[in-house]
Amino acid sequence: MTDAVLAELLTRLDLVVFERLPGDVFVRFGSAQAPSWFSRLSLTSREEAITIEQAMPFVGEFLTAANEAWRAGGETRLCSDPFTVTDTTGGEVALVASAVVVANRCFLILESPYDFEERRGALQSARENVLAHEEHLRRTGELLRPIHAAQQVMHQLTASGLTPEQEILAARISELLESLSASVESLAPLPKGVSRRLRR
Amino acid sequence: MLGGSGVGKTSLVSRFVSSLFSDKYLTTVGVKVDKKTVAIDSGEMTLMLWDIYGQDEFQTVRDSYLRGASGYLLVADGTRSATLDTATALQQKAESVAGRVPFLLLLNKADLEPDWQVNERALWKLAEQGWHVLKTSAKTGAGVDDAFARLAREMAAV
Repeated sequence: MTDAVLAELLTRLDLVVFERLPGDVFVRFGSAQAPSWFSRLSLTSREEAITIEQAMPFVGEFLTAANEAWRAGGETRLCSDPFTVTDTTGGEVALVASAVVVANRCFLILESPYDFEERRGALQSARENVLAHEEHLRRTGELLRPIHAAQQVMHQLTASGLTPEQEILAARISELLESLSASVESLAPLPKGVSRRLRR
Repeated sequence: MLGGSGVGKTSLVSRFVSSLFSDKYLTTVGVKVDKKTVAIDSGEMTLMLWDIYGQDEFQTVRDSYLRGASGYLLVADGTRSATLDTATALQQKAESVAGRVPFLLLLNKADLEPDWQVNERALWKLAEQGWHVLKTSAKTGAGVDDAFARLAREMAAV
């Protein structure tokens, strides 16, 4: 396979490959038209070596680990976390960087992960659920506070001495408050320590 | 930018860099780097702002992102007291990796201060330890520029 065919293949696969040259200079591999997302980044043409750190500071950080991987050689592929870059239209491009060694040549690969939005959607959903649950717990706690305060008042009232009729009424009110408290707590079980704090 | 998820790190960066805010919560996956130049006493400083995904049960901030940081902003959500614990834990991690570089604690969502749940005593203890705590609102912009400018000044002074 010629380099030209390989370069075209890489473009079709939505990959951009840089070869690391001596002096930590990176030059884009192949002359085929770059993927559209790459064209929207403010990078120079292939004829000029680019400073990765200037173009994409996150990749600059990745290069610290990449250099270790290139030095070690072998067949390992080191991948970065996803990162986003603002393109020339003001939009965001999600990318992942990889470092590989092939035939003693060091390559830096940039690709737009196909599952980025799916992954973001899953994390988004999970985090929204956590936030909703936290809010639910907070509101439940707010509902319980006045109930527990009323229970304390009933306890003090009972202890202060009541007539037999008042004691019956007080007992009934305490039962209702207990039932109301149990209903609210069943909406979102609170850790025991939290319940105790509210009752104090 | 370090903090738990949903505390407003991305919104603070967006407010500071682009003067934009959106009520829509869009979780950060990975890292986004923005830059902005600010004026300081000795001239100008270009800040490279690393907006790092929130630390929670789903993701942990990598040490490598903290290495080489000249300073950092810890962000907590005033309406969620647990995010202050997350910020405290991240400060310990940041100090162990990046060393004693300047940092500020931002209590974000100051526009919702009547609903705040943060523990005042915990804040007092942090202040006694020398932490600088600022209130910010990415929504209104209150305190945002001041926070970044202050961090820039402290980094320049090192």
